[in-house]
Amino acid sequence: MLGLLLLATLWQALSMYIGQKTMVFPDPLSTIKYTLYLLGRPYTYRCIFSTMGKMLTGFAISMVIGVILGVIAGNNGFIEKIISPTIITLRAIPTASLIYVFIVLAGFRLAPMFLVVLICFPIIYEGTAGGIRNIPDQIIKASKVDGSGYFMGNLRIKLPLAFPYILVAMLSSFSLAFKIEIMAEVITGGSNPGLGSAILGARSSDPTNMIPIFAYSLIAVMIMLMIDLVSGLIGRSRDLN
Amino acid sequence: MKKLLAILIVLLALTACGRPADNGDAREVSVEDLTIVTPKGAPVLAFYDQIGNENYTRVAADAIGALWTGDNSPDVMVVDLSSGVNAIKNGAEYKLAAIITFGNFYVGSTGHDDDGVMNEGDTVVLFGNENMLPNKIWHYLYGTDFDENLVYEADAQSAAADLISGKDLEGNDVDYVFLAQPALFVALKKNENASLYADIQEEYRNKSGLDMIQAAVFVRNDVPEETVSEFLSRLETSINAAIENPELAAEGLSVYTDEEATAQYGFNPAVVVNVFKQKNALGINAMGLGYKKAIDIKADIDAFLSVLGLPETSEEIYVR
Repeated sequence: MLGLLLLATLWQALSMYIGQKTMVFPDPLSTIKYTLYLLGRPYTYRCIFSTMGKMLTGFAISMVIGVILGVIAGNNGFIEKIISPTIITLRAIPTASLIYVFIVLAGFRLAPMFLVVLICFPIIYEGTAGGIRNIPDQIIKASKVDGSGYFMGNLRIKLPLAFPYILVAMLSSFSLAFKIEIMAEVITGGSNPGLGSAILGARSSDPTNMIPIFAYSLIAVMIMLMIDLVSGLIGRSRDLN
Repeated sequence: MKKLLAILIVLLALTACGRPADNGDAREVSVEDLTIVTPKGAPVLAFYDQIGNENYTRVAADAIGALWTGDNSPDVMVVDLSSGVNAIKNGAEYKLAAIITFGNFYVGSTGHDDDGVMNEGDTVVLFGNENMLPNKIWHYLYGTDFDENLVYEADAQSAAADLISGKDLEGNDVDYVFLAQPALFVALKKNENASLYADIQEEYRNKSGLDMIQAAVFVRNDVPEETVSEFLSRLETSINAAIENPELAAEGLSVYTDEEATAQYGFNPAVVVNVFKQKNALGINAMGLGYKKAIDIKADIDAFLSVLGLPETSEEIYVR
């Protein structure tokens, strides 16, 4: 609560300082009012669901690729070394430049989703590979004694043991995926609904009224807070078990 | 050696598989099935009767350049003339078909300049960077006299913010702002001290004797001639009808409303229709909407491109 109060005070002070200079930084009260207005509009929910849908699809694809490749690399140092330069490169490439490549390859509608895949996959891959690598040797030897094959050994023993690492990777990449999706929508500005397209539209129609942009951003922040809360609860219930 | 030969054969086979269809061959496509992409903003107005068409996509202006090549290239693309001509020069399989906007640039005064006359020493804001159209047009019209006090904002939206506040984004006072409609209209509504100072279309006509040229229609080479011709004929008819009766544009743009409309079009339809109804100094609509077949005004196009430092166009790049 104290933190929120501090944030609101800081925001108000910034809006008074920057707003006086350029008239483009809205105050918290106007933003909250407009956010409530937007939350009463069906279009806002279409934007939220569209953005979340594309982001979740991209995230699911990166989970599948990241976990499969992570398991393979975690079990085999040679393969990990082969994949490593690609992963390092993917993590270093500026996100904004990749969006144009994906527009060419996949079109405006799907480009943001592919960007999410490319950004999240290396994080999940590294989390999975790291988790597998950190399983104690005794457990691996014991599973071999028990007669577990490569597939079942990974599925029943290694993956559950590596899960805390995978979970951390998932949580850290999830919020990133959401931000990347919105940013990509702002850059591409396709005709489909989306929080990014709505932000771009608001900016184009009235460049000096930053209230809608801040309001859409506030909605995104609220969604992320809710996701954080749910993931925190999941983490806590797991700890209790 | 045999292995190397085998690899080369496989690579050649793969290259052949990945090769796009020969662009000399026209494919069968009707006017209704043509895929159209325009940037959000002023060019959307020209396609007011296509808003509900699922083959018509509106995208961010900065991202449209990525569509010149690849499988997702649309049949019809609307971009600024120089970008399109450059893309064709660099291998894009398109032809220049028509010009649909003839300039919507203006200079607004913030009201800060004491003598009310734009002269050396006054601070002027342009949008874009030094390689973009506003800067090139500006230097063609006004030379280098203002260079010491030129301020570049990233886009028209930031420039409009400067006209409203009378300050640039760093908080320094500005006197004049080079802007495009409808951003100018919005800015003038919000700052009662601001006013329209110059109509760039008129300045350009006075200096060059020609019309300003902005958004151009490009059509893929593999679209059959009859389809192109039918499409252009319909586009000309709908643009002329809207110029005659702007309410048609208002009706067409009413497919989307409120926040969805601004997100879809990149402008507030009510504002744009309002500007569209106004006339500029040359007596044409203030959005600069119009239609001319590109080949018919090749001389104007070449003259305009020379202002931008681009060479004369070849007749081969035009739709006949």
